[in-house]
Amino acid sequence: MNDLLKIENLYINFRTLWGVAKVLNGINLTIKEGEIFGLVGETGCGKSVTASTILRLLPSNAEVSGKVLFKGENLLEKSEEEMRKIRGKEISIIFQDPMTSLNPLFKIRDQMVDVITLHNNLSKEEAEKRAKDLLEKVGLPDPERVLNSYPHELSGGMRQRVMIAMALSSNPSLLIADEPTTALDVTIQKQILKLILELKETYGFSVLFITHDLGVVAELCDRVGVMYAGNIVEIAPTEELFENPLHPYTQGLLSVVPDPRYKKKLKPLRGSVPSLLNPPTGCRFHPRCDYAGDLCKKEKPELIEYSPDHFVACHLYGGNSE
Amino acid sequence: MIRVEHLKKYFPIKHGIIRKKTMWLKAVDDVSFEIQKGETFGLVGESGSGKSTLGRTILRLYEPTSGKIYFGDVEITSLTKAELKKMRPKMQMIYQDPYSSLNPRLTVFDIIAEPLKEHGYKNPKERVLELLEAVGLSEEHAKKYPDELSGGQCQRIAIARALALNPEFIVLDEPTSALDVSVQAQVLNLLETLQKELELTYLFISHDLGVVRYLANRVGVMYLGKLVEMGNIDQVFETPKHPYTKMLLDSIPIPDPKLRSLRLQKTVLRGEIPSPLNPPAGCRFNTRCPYAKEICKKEEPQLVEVEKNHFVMCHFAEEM
Repeated sequence: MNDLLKIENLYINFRTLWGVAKVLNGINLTIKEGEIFGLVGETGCGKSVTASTILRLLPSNAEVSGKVLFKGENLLEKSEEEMRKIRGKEISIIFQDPMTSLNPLFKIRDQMVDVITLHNNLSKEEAEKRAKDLLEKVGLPDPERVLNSYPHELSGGMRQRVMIAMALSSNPSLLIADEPTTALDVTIQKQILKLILELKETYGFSVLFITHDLGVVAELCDRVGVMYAGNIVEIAPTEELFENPLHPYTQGLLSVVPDPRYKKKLKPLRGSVPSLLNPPTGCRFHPRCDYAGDLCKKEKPELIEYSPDHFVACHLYGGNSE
Repeated sequence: MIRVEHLKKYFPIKHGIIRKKTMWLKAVDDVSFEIQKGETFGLVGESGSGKSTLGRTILRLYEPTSGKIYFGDVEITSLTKAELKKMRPKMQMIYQDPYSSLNPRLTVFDIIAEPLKEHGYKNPKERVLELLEAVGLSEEHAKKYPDELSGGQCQRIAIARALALNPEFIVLDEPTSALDVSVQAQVLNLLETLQKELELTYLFISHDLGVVRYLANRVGVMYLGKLVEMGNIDQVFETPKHPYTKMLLDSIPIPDPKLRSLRLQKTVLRGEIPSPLNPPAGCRFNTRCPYAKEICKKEEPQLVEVEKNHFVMCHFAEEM
């Protein structure tokens, strides 16, 4: 499989009133064509910032360095004009709360026709036909009724389906899904996950799936990247990651996920996520790590390929650059 | 310890031009169950199923529409306000969002001392420090304000405040839903330790079935205001008898990628939870149930005991 998106040495700092927040600390990752790549981590680890960087939607107080290569071209060097042709056309995004991504004042019909005509050379009638077609594909059996509705008249699950239909309207090659099912009930979540999987099979796009839920990762993703405090600490195929987690943080994370199948003993990690205004030196996980040594306090471990396709950034596995 | 009999809570919804027509939202509709001393009763269901309303009504934070609630031997639905206030220390509540349930203008010390002063403690300092220690915090946290603390620490403060007056029964309404998994595990372990040490009884409300499996001894499943299945945690999770419970369990993501292909073939629960303003006739689940027959649309099933202590509200419970 070819690489669709390649992030190289990406650093992001936010200048704030309280100092500089170092939110991404040199991350590297690759998304292949046609795969679902899961990005998992706790609040504030930098998963959503990564998504915003890909789409160049960062606020003006952000300082960016590194490369985001999409189909070989660096998105960070594109003009705003060029980006507008990529956003929504080549790369689409769906968010956690579809209510805030849809305009409450307009009917779904107007919003969908707008999006479709923006990226495709179609008349209003053709766009409407396309919209109906898309709504049927995302499992909304009565598209005419949906088109005539305002967002508040639809349920959360239906709104998320509308968002997916809009995101797919110009056949993107990358769909970024930022916690798309977090606001939904489990039975609806399952419907949406299944839908994303089916649509991916049909259209062949890649998915960057951002979530805090390891259960969802296990159900959906081909490969997973684990983030902690602005670093990617481990990347592996999903089964490999769950069976053979290498990084102490990944191991800790897997041991605190409750399992509905049995009463599992939870072994919580001590402490909590550090502030990014003043992150720990060296490996940012070292204050919470049971294996931390002197090297971990001084030097940031690099992401290395420990075994085929399994990457880890930890000094336990020889992650220092020497 | 807690006995609930035929509890109903209906909310009036006024509509029409002059707001004269009243519809009734049946948030809790004829629910009966018991919680034994020292156990954790888990209450699960999707949003809008009535689980939070049930929790609040049991504490009389909402006035029940009808039905009886016994706390030990005392029937609390008929108590006057003053009598109820005397009972309050024994029953406490912990909410989902620790930031909005703590007063941002009080220090941690004052937050925990408030119920103590209200109930006649002259010098609460020693007790506050004792409570902070019990929830894994220290004296230095006492001077801080809630916005200086993390979500997990705030939830510990809320727990300390709930414990201040030595309660016997605590309603926990999604206490870890706003927390990250690593912090959630810390809080769950704390709740478990406190329960053992202080012989507490919990009503644990959650939409997360993994968390319920971890903490609860018995569990009740709610759907549109009705308790549709109830039993020991292992019975309900391992041999669910109600079609809704089965599908709910099939919908939860399992943190094991090897099961994925197997699970994807399972049927997805179709449709969405209907509006509680206008619930379906007959069995309330019949519109989404793959096994629904004629009788399900007409007749409401009763809660029947299918095996010891395992109750199911389904016409075909025996065949499931």
